[in-house]
Amino acid sequence: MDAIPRRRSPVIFDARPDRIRDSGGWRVVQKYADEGRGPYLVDLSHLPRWDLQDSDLSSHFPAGVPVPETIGACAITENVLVSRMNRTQAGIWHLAPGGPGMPDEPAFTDIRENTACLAVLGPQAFSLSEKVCRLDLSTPGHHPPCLLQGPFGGVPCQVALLENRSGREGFVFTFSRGYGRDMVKALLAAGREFGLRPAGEDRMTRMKDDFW
Amino acid sequence: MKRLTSLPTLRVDVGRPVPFVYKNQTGRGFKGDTIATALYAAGVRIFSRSLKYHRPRGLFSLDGESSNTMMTVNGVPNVRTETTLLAEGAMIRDQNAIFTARNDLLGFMDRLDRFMPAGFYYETMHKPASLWPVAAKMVRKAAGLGRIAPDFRFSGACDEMYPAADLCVIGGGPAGMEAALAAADQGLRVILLEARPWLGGSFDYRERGSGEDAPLYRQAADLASRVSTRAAIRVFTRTAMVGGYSDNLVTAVTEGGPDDPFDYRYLEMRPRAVVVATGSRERPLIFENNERPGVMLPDCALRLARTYGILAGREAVFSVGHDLGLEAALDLSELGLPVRAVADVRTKGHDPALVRGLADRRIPFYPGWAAAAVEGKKGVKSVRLASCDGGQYRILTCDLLAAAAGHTPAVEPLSLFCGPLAYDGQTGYFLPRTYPAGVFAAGRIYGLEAPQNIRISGRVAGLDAAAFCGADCRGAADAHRNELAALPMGRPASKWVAFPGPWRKHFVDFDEDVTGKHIRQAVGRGFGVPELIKRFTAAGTGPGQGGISGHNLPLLVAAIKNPSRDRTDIHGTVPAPTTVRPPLRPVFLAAYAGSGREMVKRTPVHDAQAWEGAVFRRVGVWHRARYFSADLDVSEEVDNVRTNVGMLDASTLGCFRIFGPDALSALQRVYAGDMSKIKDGRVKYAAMCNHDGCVIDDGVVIRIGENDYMFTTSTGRAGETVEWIRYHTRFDNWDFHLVNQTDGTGVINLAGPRARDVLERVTDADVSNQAFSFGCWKDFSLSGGIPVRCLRLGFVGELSFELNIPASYMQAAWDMLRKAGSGFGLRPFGVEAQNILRLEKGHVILGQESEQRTNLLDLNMGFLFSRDKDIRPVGADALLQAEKDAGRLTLVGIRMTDSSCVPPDGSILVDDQVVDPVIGYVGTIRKSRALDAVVGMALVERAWTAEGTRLAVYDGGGEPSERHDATVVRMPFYDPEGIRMRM
Repeated sequence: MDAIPRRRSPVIFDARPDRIRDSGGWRVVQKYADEGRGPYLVDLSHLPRWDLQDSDLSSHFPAGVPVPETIGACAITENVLVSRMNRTQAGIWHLAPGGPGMPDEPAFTDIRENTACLAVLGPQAFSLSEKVCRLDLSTPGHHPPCLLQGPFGGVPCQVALLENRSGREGFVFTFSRGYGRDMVKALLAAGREFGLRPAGEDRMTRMKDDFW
Repeated sequence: MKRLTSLPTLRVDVGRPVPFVYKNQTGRGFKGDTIATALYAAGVRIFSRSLKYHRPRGLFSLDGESSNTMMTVNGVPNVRTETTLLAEGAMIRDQNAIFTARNDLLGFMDRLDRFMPAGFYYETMHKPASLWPVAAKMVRKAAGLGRIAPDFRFSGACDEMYPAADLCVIGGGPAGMEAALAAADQGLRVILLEARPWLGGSFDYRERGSGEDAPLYRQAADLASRVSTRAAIRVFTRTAMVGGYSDNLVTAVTEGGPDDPFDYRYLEMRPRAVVVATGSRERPLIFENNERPGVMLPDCALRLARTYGILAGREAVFSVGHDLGLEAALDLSELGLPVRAVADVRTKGHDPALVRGLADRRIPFYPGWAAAAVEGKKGVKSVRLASCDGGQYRILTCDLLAAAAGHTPAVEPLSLFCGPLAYDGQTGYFLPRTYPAGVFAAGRIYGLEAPQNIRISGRVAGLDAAAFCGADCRGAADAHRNELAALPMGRPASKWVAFPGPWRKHFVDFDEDVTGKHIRQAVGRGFGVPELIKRFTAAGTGPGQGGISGHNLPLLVAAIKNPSRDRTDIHGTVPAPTTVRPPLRPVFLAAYAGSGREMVKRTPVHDAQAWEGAVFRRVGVWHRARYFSADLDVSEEVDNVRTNVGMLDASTLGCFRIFGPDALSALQRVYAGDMSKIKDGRVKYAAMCNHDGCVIDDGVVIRIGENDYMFTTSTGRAGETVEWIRYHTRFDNWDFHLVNQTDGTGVINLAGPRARDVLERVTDADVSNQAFSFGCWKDFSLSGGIPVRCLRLGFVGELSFELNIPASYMQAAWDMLRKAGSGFGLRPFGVEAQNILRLEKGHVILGQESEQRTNLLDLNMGFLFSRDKDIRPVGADALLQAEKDAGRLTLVGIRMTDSSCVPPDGSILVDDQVVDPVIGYVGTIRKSRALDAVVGMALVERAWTAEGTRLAVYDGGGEPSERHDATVVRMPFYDPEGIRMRM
């Protein structure tokens, strides 16, 4: 039997892994040696993401939850975020390993390969975001979790706001995979003054538990 | 110079010296000093020489409104030393002088002013025309301020920020801070911009109180403390607003300090409301030699003392037109500066307390008097004061003349939002006629002088802005408005312009050496409004952008145009100031560029190709491997594909899934061909046209399931494809869905006669020609289970397998193929090699063989157009029309007669025997080793398309330009039967 070919994330961190797990060809860093005190930049590109498109989204229950009726609204199950993008489209992002498999329905498309997915978590996450994008993540008018769509770092993105309380800020965003390297470069450069450091998958899990 | 060190308003830390180098000598300033204040304290009085006349120039204000103190610092010319903080080890040089600013060999230019009248540039040295080339050289050599090395590289760090807020307050003085606090109280998120390094505005350096209230500097400190501790208020100091645009778009630049991670930070924000509280500045007094070193604004002299601990002179005379001028004279006198006299252009309306204070200190006070002239070549030796009616005068010796005609609003930021200004008779200021929704103003910009009034007006503006943003506070705003209305208002600003006279050395604009004489000459030549005078005299076009001349210019024009009227009564006849445009402050282009990050897409095997020596070029949003060697002819890459096997990373091609009940209908609409005829397991080549029938894209379409298709696009069109299809089906109400899978689909084109040998080593699937023939596709796995969708295509004219692989597996697949192909001569090839290979095969690349006018028929691709399908495709009408048009260009193959001649792509084809000699142009042309010839594809007029026709290729870029013979030949050039790609 041939060895499982290695799968690669579009994102590369110049940091020393401290703990790694293998999963279906992915080498997932759970923790880096020096993650700092936040904010944290976490690569979630290896986790499943699905695109759901149907003229009747109400008939679908991805990850067991209905698609939110309001555009921009999000629903969160234990490991999965379901966001309403427009009248006929929803995004389903796994934020941690162990979620359900993609339904075998034509309305679903596995888009994990199409996009990179990053999370920015912790204090001053919004200070970082305003250095790379014009989206107003910090406005009290947002009620997380919610979805914003627009340029982030100069490229089209979907940004899911997870939390906007001061000191507990966090958001996850996806963008075309090809931009992965430049996006990370831009974020780390912009976040240097705030102490932004790469962090492992566990950081997302911990923050997720903390948020919800 | 000994500093005043015990002042509570001091902003320098005299315990922390900062060394600098000026004229190769080490000097010492203190932390908090600007370069100019440090130099001034070190005894420097002449900072630069003026542009035209090379007159000595010194410190005049402290906010950088003129080029007077622009110097070369650390090799960077034109640094505004008034506002630039002194940094340790700064290397400072004066500029625009031969030898030094103090002893400038070009100082004689000042005596040549008679030969440089207004419009000098427009009228001189043009006749005789033969003189101009010589004169132009001289003018260009003499003109301009500062010199920058051709190889100068900006070494600072720049970035950008897009802070979000409900309200942006421009100006961190008392009004601005009150506005910010009032708005924050109503729940608004506020951004407060202040150009100086600290908040406080005009309160910051003033010790005099307001009645029984605390001294103004303490009030400023209290406000600053409250503002700084409010989470809803974000304060940006050292941040000058540079642009204001419609819909409240505000741009600003922050100058970084030693602890900041940037040198310049560009800020861009779009608040819902804007409050402009930029205060007022002193309007320069126009008199003879009014820009001599030693003449400065009273506020400048006061701030030098109060903020930096520097007494500006040994003996001073004041000539003012406002109470703050009187206050400055009194305050400086109390600080130890001997004041010989104070003249005030006003005959009445002075603050009695200030007049009393002057009397108490035995300072002679001359109401209705003003400075008329200054004596002294490199500094002030004496000043002539005269009564405004011209009847009396006195000459006083001094080394400092603090002079201003009064106040004028710092209205530039406001005018960016509000448009043209008009004279306001009540305040004597130039103010906007109208305010757009969401834009408010407060404070001294409205002519308010009393501290209490200034603060209340700030509250009103903050509450008005909050109400505009939806807060329920109109009542509170009105209450404060009524409170303000009940208080005594400020007196109208002084309207004094200048004593009558020739105005030969009465400078209106310091930067461009524009005098009152020039303005009078311009008016005399018929340039009746400031906008025209500005262009004719250059007033306001220098680095200060009208900071000095701004509001004096229209007042002076009014005085010149209405000599019979009392010049102090010009209400209603005053021309408007010139238009203000961003940037309000000079900004390094590097600051606008920001971090300069380039967001480019990389394919999943970018690194692998780089490791193999790939040279990348940008193609749209992607970096693509163009070559794999320094040999730009890429002959080895081409030969290897023709003889062995190569692999090309084609991951940048667009890849889409379209599905849903009406997916086929959508495809029928956008593709010219009949998509209903796609057979299972077969690949269909297809093209999209626009409404003109011109080809915009091509690719392949396959059917992957019931109402489920995959199609590809060119690299350049991938980003627009979804919108294109949605747009052209917008009225059909069809039920279909699109997913852009471009980035998720890595593509390796394995091509060459040994391609199958390589592929068979990495898959168990049957990829023989019998099981998997040309034009088919199938899904299978590579070793280890890597899923692949393989298309048998032949773009490069050889046996080819186009492997579509999930992006995350691409690197593994690339490595696997590389290893498997090592025994077959496998090597990667780049886009240039592909370009030659497909050219030999006669396959077009849109954008190379076509341009925006080229339709499907022109490219001999009419076979892709289905004329009778149910759904009319985009461009069908135009294509049907074009079929009858004999006047279009047609794609042909050409072969150069001289096989060593390779004209550049795009060369035109000419025929001198016809009226219009240009008969077409070359798309791509290359040397083909396989054919041992130079071949290309060209679009030519129909009359020249017959095989064997001789064409002349005009090589306009050659040395010398010449024509080369070519012949129309049949395509494809290589393997015309297509045997090799069907192997």
